[in-house]
Amino acid sequence: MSFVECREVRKTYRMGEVEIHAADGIAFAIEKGEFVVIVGPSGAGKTTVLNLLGGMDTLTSGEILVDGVDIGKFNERQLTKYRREDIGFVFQFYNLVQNLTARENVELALQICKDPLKAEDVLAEVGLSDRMDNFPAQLSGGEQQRVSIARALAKNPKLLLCDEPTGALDYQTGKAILKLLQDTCRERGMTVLVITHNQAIAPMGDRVIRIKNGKVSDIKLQEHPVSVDEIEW
Amino acid sequence: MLFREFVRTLKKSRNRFFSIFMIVALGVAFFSGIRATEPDMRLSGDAYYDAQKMTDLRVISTLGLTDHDVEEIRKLPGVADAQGDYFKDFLAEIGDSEQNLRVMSYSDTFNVPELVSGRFPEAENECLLDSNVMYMEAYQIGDVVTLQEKDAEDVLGVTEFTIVGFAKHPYFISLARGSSSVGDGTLNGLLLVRPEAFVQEYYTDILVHLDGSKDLVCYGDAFEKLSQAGVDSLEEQEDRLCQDRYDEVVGEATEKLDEAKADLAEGKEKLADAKKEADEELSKAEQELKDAEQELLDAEDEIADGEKQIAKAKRTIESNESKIADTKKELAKGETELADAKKELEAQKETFAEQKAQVEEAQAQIAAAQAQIEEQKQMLEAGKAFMPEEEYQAALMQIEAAEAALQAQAAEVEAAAAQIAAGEAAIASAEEEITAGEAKIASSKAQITKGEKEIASAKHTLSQKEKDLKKAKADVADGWNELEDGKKEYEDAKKEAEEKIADAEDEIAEAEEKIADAEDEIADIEFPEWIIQERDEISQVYGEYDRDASNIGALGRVFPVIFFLVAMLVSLTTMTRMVQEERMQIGTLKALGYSAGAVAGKYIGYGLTACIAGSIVGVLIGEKILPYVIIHTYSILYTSILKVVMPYSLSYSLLAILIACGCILAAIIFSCYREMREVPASLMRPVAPKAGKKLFVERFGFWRNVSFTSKSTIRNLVRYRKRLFMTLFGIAGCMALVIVGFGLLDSISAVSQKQFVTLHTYDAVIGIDTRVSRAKYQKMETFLQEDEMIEDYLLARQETMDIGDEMTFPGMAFVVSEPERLSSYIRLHERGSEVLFDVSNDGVVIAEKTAAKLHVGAGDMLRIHVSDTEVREVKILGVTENYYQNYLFMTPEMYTDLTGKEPQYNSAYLHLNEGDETALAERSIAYDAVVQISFVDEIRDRIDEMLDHLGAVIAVIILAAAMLAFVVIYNLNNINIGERKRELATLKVLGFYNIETASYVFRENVLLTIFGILAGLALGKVLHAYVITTVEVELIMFGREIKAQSYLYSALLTFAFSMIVNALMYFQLKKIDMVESLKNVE
Repeated sequence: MSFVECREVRKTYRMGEVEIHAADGIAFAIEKGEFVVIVGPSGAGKTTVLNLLGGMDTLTSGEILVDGVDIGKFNERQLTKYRREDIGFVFQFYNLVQNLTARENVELALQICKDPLKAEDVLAEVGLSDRMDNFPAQLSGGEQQRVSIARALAKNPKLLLCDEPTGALDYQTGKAILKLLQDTCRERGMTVLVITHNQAIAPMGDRVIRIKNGKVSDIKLQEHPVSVDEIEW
Repeated sequence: MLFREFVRTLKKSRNRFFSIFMIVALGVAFFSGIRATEPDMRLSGDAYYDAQKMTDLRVISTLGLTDHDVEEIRKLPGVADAQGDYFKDFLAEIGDSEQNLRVMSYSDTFNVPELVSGRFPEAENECLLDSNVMYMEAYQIGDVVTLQEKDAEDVLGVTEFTIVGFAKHPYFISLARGSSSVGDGTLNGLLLVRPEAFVQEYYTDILVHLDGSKDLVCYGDAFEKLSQAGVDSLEEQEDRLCQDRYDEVVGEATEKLDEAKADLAEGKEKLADAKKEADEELSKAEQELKDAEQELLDAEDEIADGEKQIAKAKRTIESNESKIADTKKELAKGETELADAKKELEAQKETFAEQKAQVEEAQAQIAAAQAQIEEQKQMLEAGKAFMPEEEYQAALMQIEAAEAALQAQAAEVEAAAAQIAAGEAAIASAEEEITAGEAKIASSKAQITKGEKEIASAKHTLSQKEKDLKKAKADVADGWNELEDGKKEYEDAKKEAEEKIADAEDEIAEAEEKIADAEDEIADIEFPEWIIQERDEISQVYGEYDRDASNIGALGRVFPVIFFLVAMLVSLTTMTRMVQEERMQIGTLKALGYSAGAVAGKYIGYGLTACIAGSIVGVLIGEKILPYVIIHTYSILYTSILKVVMPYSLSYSLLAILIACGCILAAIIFSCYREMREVPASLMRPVAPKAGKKLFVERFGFWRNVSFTSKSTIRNLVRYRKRLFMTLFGIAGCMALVIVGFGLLDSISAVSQKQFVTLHTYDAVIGIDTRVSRAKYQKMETFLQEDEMIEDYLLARQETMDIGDEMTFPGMAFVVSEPERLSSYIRLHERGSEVLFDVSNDGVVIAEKTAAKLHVGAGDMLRIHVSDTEVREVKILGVTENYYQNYLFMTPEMYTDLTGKEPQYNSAYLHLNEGDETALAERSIAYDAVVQISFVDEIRDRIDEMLDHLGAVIAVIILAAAMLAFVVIYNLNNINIGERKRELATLKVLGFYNIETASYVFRENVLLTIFGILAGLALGKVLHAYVITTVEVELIMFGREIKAQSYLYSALLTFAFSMIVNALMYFQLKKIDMVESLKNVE
């Protein structure tokens, strides 16, 4: 059985009279330690998938099994627990608390976690050992994203979800961040899921899932994914 | 187009709009409400006074007023109506108790009493009694009021009135009744009677209604002007009408004088007549008496002469009689002598015969004896031989002796024979003498018989004479008696005459007195003077009510400041936030070519819309609720004013709206000023988030141990100062309001708690009637000494004395019988001090409020008006903590020095042992000298009851406070949540539970609430002090302190308000969509 398995996942929003099927029977499976890239155009339903996988939203029907547990049946509190213990989240806009330093932003996550890593170690890992006491406003975008990744990693999650991690970054920085994610996946055996509209990133995934109109249009396993350094866009 | 956008913005940001709306509504409600209370109080008062037809002016004359005056005043221009009126103070008895009552006439055109129960009097001897609470409890309809003054009958036709109802009089709209001219100087109540009940010839006062006064609000300037004009026009008439009245009174008096003079003349005449008549009669009677006496004396002389003659005659008779008797005696003696001589003669004859016989016998014997002797001689001789010689010799001798003796005898017999012979001769001559004597006696006897006859006839004559004399004597005695009677008659007549004269003299004296009186009276008639009083002079409480209204107005200038300040801060933060949010849009619009004004117009319009809507709602609600609550609370004091008139006041409403809009506008302009100045390009860029800063405190080691959420909280606080101040002010205002609310309760309950527990430590007080007899008073004292339940007692006198300089007000002199014992009944010390004052002869100890009102302190001089004309200054020894009454504590000596009277103690303060208070009350009231007994715990209960009425005010204040807290915290939360939606969503995504997310936000609120509470402590204390001193009423000083627990409650309540808002906001927090975290920065 796969580490993550989505079965016929549907998410329907009701806007007055109209029903919008954001996810219309999505199904895929992910194995542990894979670097997965989910690509699709805007409005295809990839964010819905992320929301559902991240426990931020409930599904209308179907099943999402993470490590054998159906999170689709979770209530709000269970979902919170799930997010807190099993999921690491990297946002497009970093979402750091402006009033806390880099170290403190990491520790903010650790505070609620059962079995955390040391903040300094994680920050060192992402290459910020000398910027630990800076406030987000004093850091560049890439550095902020590194803090964001460090915050997600420090929780030692089962699944690292990244929403357009490079979306707000320039080319070089974006690549550096993707490299960091890929390295993390490889070195720690972490299951990493990157959601992006950028087709160019697809070759670097172990598994590439394409989504179109709320449905999975294609799942491709790549035996030899390309290294970040070789990708250009 | 911009307008459409504006409307949509309104719809979208309901929370924001609501914040401004609420705070403005609150501020405006408070401002316009409290401000409107001032005119509303006056309007309510005016409505009451109009309804009761309260007089506008009152004229009192020193000589009384007449119908003529009434007519003349009525004729004056500007005068709508005038009416004569009576009032006078009396000591009266109702049931067992004595009261100082003001008897007033009433009518249905002026000063109409407001009937509380019963009906209006229909007869002269029916009355309405003051409806003050104590009377309503103590007496019932049907009870009889008896006026005690001696001259009551001169003023009123009846002195006993039956109570047919209870009523309020418009002069006295509060509980206070002021001072009285009788008794202990304190007026207890009113007695309203029909005007016919008064029989005095003149009116006490004239009541005047002015044209148009009813249409004016009585406390306004226009009314003042009208009233003053009325006074002026009355003053113009004063001299003329006073002259009339003077002439009238002088005329009456002169008439009286003339009458008296006539009386005098008559009296004098009478006296003269009486004197003359009496003199004549008396002298005549006297003469008669004298004559009669003379006659009697003459008669007595005659009688005396007669008596003398009789006595003389008697003496003659007596001497004759005694002569005859002597003669008779001599005769008898002569006869006896004769008889004796005869007898002797016979006896001598016999003796002679015997002696002759004896002699013959003796001769015979001698012869025989001789013969014998011879024989014996013979025998002897014969016997000589036979016998011894010696015997013979002896016998011989014997015979010889016998012979000698015989011879002697023989001689004797011979002599005797001779004597007898001589005797026989003598007898013969004696016999001759006797015969001659017998003849003499016979002639004497004849003479005696003749004398005796003469005497008898003399005696007869004498007795006749004596009888005559006796009769004469009886006649004289009768004459004397008659004379005595005559004398008595004379005396009586004399007395009568004297009495008559005395009477006549009395009459004269009386007449003279009358004349003197009349003359005095005329001399005493001073030219009358009018006292023309306006309403505030007629009724003390009229002015007090006005001042209280002004006090509330003063509050209205302070209270709303908090609200407007907070309103400004709220709009400032809200609008700043809004402008920031719409930065990009502002930039776009400006880039499109809209002017800064047009763009700013949206925000100004937004703020003003909220502000005006809030203002209108605030005005509508505030101007109804606040005046209602405040005036109703004041009705504890002003018991008559129950109908509250509260029209919407346009001026205050507009003022409130203008102030509110001004504040909001300033805040808006301030918040978007910077944005409007910036160029579109920079506006298009998102504003760089304010850099987090390390704080000073972070340099210390403990910072590392502070949790991250707390760190963030603290940094946030420092970052957004506007919000900090808004929240601080809001919460502090809330706290301050709640403190004021609880503080009001504390302060007012301090009156009972401090006054009757801490300061006044006695258990009961007895009111004493000082006019009972000495014996009754002593009986009561004995009772006080001996009753088992009374531990000890202290006598005191309470008397109203006016104090102060220009504005005098009644102080309550408290004369302590034993000043050294006072401290165990009433503790006199400065507030906050435990050092007790001594009441000494050097001065007086006065109450704190009194001192504050007069702006004096210990060591200063206090002016006491001991009479209408005399003002005395005494030293103030100390200012004592005191919450009720303007007490002046003094020694009996000081009292005597001030008034010239010995204090008569009219109250006794008691310490009681455990026991049944009702029984004690019954025991004590049974004494005539005891008027009433009140127990301190009852007084306390009564005051505490009053406090319950304050509930409404406290409720309004606490409600306002809660709303203030709500608006501020709500707004703060709104901004915080709105601004940090992404942050919060991120936290949620990171796996923070809702409660953890909430606490991350609320920690800030909690901290601010705590700071706000601390600031509010100070603010509340200041505000409370201001409110208390502003709303304080005469007589009572509210407590200045707020209890610690009130601070605690206020803090807890404020905290609770804050937490409630937080709890409400929790749901909003829960609703935050985690998807927000994925969105772009706007």
